[in-house]
Amino acid sequence: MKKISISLALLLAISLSACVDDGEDGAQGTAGADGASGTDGVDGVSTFVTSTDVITTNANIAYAAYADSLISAQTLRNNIATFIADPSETNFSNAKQAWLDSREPYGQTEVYRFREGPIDALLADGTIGEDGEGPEGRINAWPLGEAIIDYVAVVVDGDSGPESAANALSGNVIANTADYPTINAETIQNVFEFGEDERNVTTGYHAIEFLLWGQDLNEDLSGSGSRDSSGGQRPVTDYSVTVGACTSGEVAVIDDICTRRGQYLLAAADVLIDDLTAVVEAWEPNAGVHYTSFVAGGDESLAKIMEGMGRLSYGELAGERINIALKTDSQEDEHSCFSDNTHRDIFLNAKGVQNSFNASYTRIDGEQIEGASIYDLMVVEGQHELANSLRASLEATMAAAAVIDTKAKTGTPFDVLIQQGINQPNVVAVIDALVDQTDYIEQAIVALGITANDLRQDTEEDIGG
Amino acid sequence: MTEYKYICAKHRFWVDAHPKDAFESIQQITKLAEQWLQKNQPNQAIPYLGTAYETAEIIFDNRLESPQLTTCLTSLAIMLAHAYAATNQINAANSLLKHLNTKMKCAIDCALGYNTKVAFFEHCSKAINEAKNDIIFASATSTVTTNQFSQIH
Repeated sequence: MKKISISLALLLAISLSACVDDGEDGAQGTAGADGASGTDGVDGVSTFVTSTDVITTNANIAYAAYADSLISAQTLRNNIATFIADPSETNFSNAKQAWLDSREPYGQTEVYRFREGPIDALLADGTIGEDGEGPEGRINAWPLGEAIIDYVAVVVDGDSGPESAANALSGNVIANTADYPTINAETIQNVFEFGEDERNVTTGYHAIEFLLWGQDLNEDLSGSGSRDSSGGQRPVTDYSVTVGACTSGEVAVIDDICTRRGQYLLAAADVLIDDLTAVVEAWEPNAGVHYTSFVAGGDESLAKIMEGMGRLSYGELAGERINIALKTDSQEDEHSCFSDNTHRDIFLNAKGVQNSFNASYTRIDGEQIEGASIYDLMVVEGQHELANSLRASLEATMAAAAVIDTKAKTGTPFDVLIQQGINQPNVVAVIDALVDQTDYIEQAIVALGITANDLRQDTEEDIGG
Repeated sequence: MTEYKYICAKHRFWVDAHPKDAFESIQQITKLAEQWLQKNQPNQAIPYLGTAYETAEIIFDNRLESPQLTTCLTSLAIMLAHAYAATNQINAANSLLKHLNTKMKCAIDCALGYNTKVAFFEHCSKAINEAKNDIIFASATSTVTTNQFSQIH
């Protein structure tokens, strides 16, 4: 009797999901698919998806998404090297496009944060420590300490930079030839969080972004008044190799500055690649230090998946990345503020959460990775209604995020949207949708009988509702 | 019956027969369109956006709709409408958004009883209406600017 009721439930599930799932490494059934620990399926779906199937799929997708991030970071590095050697407008555009492309897979990996995984906890010796000890800050921390790196407008939008005056370096690294005669990966890592001030961020995606776009000061470079649809306007002459043609924005400077700026850019790409390589290795199927223990982790690993989904949804994305920027109306609190690519950060972070639930990820080469999902598991556990509600809430979030995304692509980027403050309904809609999905994730944690840490611990702000 | 402006009959048959491949092609074509939009060349983006939009619409009309496709269809319509508006084709922009909104209302009617589906389609419909208002506002602002410019000269 039990088997029949499960089959009926799964038939219902497939009619609703219209997708075919199989567990990782599961053998194909005659008309269906198996979970790794499962039995032959019927009508295209496993009759027995286990939590181990779900965890294994999650780990395989994590590996694929980080591997894609590394591949696209290497492409970025190659484009940067070409640009520095030949700083033409075309090569400059190509380098910027490569940066934008590199954000696409990485944004979808952020759901692997907040769960003591390699991104947050991988130590230099290759072992796993505690959350906060990993390379995440070096890879993706923001706001950036741009004044430590290169020339800046002192005040943008009425805000000064995030750097602590008490811990300020004398001059920026690129201009300060006395203290920093050479610029390489070691130099820029040594000044990371200089003076143990976490606002002094000098490496990662956003350092590269700043060195490619410069500060977003509007097309008139005033840095004040109503924001326009443009991102940073760094001129290509900031990297000139022609004698006497080097600039720092509108100011002519000695040629050495352009050379050093190129060195910084390349060093930042090298550090990014090193850090991503370490994370990819830790997730390598059947060999990585984290992969093996995570896949064997049972309910504890399942709880980590749910916790990562919930904490990214609520505190990090709805709270720190959207709500604070909205409330402060500050570009300084905007994630990709130099390139005006924040709409993609929001969309891709939300997409990562949806990927985790659906156990689905499209690689940068178009390959589709799918497997046993949390949805399948919830259905097997008799939680069809909640599974459908959670899925619908994730879809609602994607629809709301798509509005932000489309607005940016049609000339209203995130920094312009937030100028309307908390009255901006499109931005509030994304926050509300993320809060809703967090509610359902919490219910799913209870329904699956697992225990996770507080999903709402990462922001002190009241959000949603 | 829907008339297609950007895709030929042969392409349409291919979309009918290969909806999954067609959906992947939408994403590739959209990327190309976005690159033109980034370069502020809406004229160049329009054929790509039009092709992607019509491809998505065929899949949608074939009742192979999914939330991802519907979101994509809505976004494409909004981007295409903005591109039309940027090239002074305001009527085409409004007509496109009106056309899709009618379709969304039908989808809402068909989904009655499925609350989450209704909410999803309503969200898309709201985004379309908002885009329509944005375009009207931008067009009015642009007229004012143009008029002011004319007065100066």
